[in-house]
Amino acid sequence: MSSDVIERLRTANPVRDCPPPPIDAVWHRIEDIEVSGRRSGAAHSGLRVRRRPPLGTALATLAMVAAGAVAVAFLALLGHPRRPQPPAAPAPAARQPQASRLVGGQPQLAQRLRSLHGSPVVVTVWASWCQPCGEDLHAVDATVTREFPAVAFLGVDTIDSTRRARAFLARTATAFPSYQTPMNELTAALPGLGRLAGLPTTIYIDRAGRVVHVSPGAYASAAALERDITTYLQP
Amino acid sequence: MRLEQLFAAHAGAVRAYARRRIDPVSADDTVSEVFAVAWRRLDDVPEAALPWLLGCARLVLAHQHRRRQRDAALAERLETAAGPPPPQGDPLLGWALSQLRDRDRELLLLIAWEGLEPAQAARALGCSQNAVAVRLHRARRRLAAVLRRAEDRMESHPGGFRAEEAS
Repeated sequence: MSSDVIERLRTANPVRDCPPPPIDAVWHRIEDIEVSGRRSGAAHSGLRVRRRPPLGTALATLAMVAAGAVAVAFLALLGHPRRPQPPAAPAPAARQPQASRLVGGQPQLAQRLRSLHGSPVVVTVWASWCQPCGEDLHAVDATVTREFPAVAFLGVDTIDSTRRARAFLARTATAFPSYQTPMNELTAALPGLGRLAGLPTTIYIDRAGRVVHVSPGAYASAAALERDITTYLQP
Repeated sequence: MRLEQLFAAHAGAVRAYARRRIDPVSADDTVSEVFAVAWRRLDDVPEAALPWLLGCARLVLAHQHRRRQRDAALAERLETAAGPPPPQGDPLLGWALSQLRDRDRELLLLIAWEGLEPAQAARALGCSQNAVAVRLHRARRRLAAVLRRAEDRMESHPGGFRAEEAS
C-alpha cells in the first residue's frame, strides 16, 4: 500500500507551521555579498541555481565587474567629481548634467564631499529595491534644489547592483547625481553617522562638514523636506 | 517591491523546509541565503516561486553539507548543534527514511511535508514531470518495503531489533 506511505509521512511531519523569520537577516546577507564581495561558499552554490554552466556564470560575473570598473573609470575621467567647486556656491544640483546619473563610487563621493566643505549638503541614501525611496527621490525635486541654491544635493545608492540602480534611475528621475557606495564605507566616510535605521535616509551635513541630522524614512512632501533643510542647515 | 512580496509569501515555507532538514540556526541562515540568491536572480524567479525557492534551498543545504564534510572543525562545532526534529510520533519512519537514497527521500518529503504537487516537485528538482512520476512511484514502493520489513522484524523480535537486520 504505497499510497499509505505518503499519508504516514504527512502525519509525521515534524515542522508544520513556521512563521517567517525577520527579513532583516536577508538584507544583511545581501549587504555582505554586495558590499564586500564576500561570498560564502553557500551563496556561490546558491547562485548556481542560475542553471547556467559555472564557467558561463563566472565569465558573466567577470564581464559585469569589468564593465562596472570601466564605467566608473570613464565617469571619473569625465572629471565631475574632481572639478573643485567654489565652496560657498555649489552649482544647483538640478543644472548638473549628472543629475539622475550614477557618477562614481565611494572615492568619488569622498572627494565630492571634501570639495563641498563650506557648503551645507543634503545626502539622500537610497537603493533600487527600496519602494519608498522612489517617493523620497521625488520629494527632492528640481523645485527644492532651486529653492536652496546654496545647498548641495547628492544621492548615495547602497546595497545595490549597478545594473538595477541604473534601471531605477531611468524610471525615477532625480534632481541630483548619485554615488554608489557600500553601506559600511558610507558610515566610515561620515563620522557621526551611526548605523542607518533603513532606507531611504536623508543626511544633513553642515558647512563644517559635520552630520547635524539624520532623517530615516521617506519625506511625505517637499514641504516637510524644505522645513528640515531650513531647520538644520540654515542656508 | 518584489523581493519583499516573495519573502512575505514564502519565507515561512522555506524556513519550514530548512527546519525539517537541519538545525534551527542553520535553517535560518539557509533562508537568508535563499532570498539573497532570489534577490540577485529576481528576473529568473518564476511567477509560481515556491518550487524555485525550495530548489534553491536544496542546493544551499547540499552545499552546507559538503562544506561540513570538508571542514572537520566546522563539522565538530555543528555536531553539537541540535539536528532537525525527527518525524513526529513515528520513530520507525525516521529510520526508514534514512535507508532511502537522497533523491528518493527528497521527492517523497517535498510531496508529503512541503505539500507540493508532483509537477511542482519536478520544478524544484529540475527534472521532467515524467521522470518525477516514475521516481515517485518507485520511491513510495521502496519506503513501503523498508517499513514492511522492519515491522515484520519487530513482530518476530518483540524485544527489539538491530537496524541492519531489517534492511
